Amino acid sequence: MAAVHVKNLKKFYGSVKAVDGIDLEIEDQEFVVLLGPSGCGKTTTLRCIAGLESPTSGEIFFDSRRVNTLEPADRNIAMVFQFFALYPHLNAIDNISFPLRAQGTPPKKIGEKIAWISGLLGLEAILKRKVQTLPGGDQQKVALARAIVRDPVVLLLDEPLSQLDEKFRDEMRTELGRLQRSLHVTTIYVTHDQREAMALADKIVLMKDGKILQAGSPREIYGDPQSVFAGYFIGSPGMNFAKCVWEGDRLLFQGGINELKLSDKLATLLSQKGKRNLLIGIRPEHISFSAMQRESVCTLKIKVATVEKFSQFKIFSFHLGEQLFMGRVREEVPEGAEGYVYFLPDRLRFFDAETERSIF
Amino acid sequence: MRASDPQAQDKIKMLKLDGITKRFGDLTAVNRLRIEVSAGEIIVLLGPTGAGKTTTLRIAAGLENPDEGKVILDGRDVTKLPPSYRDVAMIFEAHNLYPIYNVYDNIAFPLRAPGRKLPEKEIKERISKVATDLHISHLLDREMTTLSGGEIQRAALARTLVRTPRIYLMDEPLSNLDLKLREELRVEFRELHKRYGATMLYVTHDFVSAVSIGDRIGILDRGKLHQVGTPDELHQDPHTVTVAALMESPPMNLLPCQVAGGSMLVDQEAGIIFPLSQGQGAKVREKAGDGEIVLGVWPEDIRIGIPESERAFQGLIVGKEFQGANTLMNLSVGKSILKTLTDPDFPGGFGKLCRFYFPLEKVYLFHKKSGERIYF
Repeated sequence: MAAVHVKNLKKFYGSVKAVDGIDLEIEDQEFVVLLGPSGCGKTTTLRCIAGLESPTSGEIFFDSRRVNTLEPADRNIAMVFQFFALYPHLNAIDNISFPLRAQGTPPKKIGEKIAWISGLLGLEAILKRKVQTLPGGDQQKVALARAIVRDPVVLLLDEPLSQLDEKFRDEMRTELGRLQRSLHVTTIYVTHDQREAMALADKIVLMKDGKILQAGSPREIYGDPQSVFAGYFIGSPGMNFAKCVWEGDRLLFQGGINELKLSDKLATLLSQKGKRNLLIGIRPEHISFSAMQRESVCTLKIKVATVEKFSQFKIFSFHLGEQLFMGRVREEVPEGAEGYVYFLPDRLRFFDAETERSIF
Repeated sequence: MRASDPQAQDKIKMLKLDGITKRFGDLTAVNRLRIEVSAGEIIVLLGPTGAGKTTTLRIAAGLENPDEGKVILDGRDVTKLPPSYRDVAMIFEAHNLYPIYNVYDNIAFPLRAPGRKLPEKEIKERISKVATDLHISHLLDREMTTLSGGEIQRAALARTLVRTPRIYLMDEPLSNLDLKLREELRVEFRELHKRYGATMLYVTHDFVSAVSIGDRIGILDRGKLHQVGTPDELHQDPHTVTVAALMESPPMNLLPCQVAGGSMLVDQEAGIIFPLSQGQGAKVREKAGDGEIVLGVWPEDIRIGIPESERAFQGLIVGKEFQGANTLMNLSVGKSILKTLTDPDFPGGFGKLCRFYFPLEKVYLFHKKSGERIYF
């Protein structure tokens, strides 16, 4: 097990800055998720840590040991990919024991290790099966078992669930979380799926265009996004945003049809900041709907566009200027209904329209 | 328009698949499937990989011939007709747009096809409308190869929507997209549907898309259509264990269970016991016979953090997945894992004991072997 430090890492491919100067402090046993859209540099970062790519510049440390010049095999890492990379014609047990045999581990020790890992992952029943006959979820478990069985100091996972069916994916996500917490192995996990990041991470590192936008616990990032992108990208659906102008006593939305009066507290705060062109942000669960107007501030008259009916909540959408907003409520909301939405004042967030960075 | 809308009942049946069976060698891909899609309705077939979803769609389109059964389109038997005579539009997961054409020409393609050939003026009007609706007006001159994934998907959708067929057949049109794009397109899709009022048969393995897009959902597994209904209907009364396992995310919790004496014993090691009335016990025994039964309970019907003074069962917290608006708890109970959603502020961490409860009224029972629901 090891702490991982990345200092000012850069990886350029010609003129493309895949990773453009990132710093990471990953504590021993921490579960860190590198999250971002395709092309954000998350996989390149992981591959640099693994030693599969050499950085253009910057340094990588496992504890106090600089590993830049070490071959992947000498870094004592284990990596699991999106695609399983197993030997399909071998059975599960031979796949899992492969790295141990390659290291020359004594057979007795291999037996113990296999018993331990298959117990941990619930693989006992399928050890003798050829992996090509196993469903995707089980294949990925075998790949995981093979990665963990040699006690790596760092476990690197590159979108390990993305090829699985929705249902398997949910199960495997839970399994992975449980496993990491009982193994206490430092884990770096790459994904574009914010649900996985939120469910698994001690710390999320949100990346875009080769840079880190924000790093923090899932709750911090969810509750206090520092940029429009962070708010939008994390959460399902993400935070709602609309461009507006602060007129000193109310917000005027693009198109000029809708306006929003704010609570005195928010109005004072906004006026102090002295910004006029803003983006307002609010999470779906902080929007409520009622047929009659119930509040005097932070409320808007709207028409419900669509409703998605999940058993425990409904997601309704409505237009605010050019933007489609989504609210999440427990009660029934009729499609096409007119009524009032209310934005919980404490949960409203404001962003600079130009920089798209958080104001408060 | 939701199907619970009484008017929908009177709508004409646009597509009827009547006892469709399709075999590939020993494999029965689709087994006596019966479904009716009303005009203006979206039905989503939801099922895992290999359920027979795509085969069903291809049979409706005329790309496969069924071994048995009929395809009735707008009152006419089209079972033997080739695709081009059916007046259906199909959009595939792997949309085959032509990379050598620009966006406009790709969208125009089906309208310029021989036999359908519309005047260029009308083509232009139609494309302009659909491009506005899908927010791609600014992309019409662009080459396909310069578009992002989401833009390509919109172009593919535009090419389908520019036609006005009797029915649209959609094969996971959103599944290749980033999660974020999928979220946006789902809602846009539903809005578009309301605007165009099109009839649609849509297949997916993603429960969330199914609920967002479908008026009604058909649960398909291993070639068998288990149940068709609105999301509410499927949730309140799943006819089989398969429906319960595929609806909702997280799905219904399913636990092994047996009836002994006057009680129901859930997962022997879990210590969950429900006393049954004589009538209930007799009913369950009669229907289950000696067979094993499966107990189902929806995640939201499990209350957790029950005080010591009240009756409760006990589990170990083995997972706590933050989801933003709520947290998904995984409780280890006997040999099973129970999932339930809680408030993100719920205390108690990994490895802690947790008191939980669900009443017998919230319990669903299924015959283990047949998967059929047992009413008691």
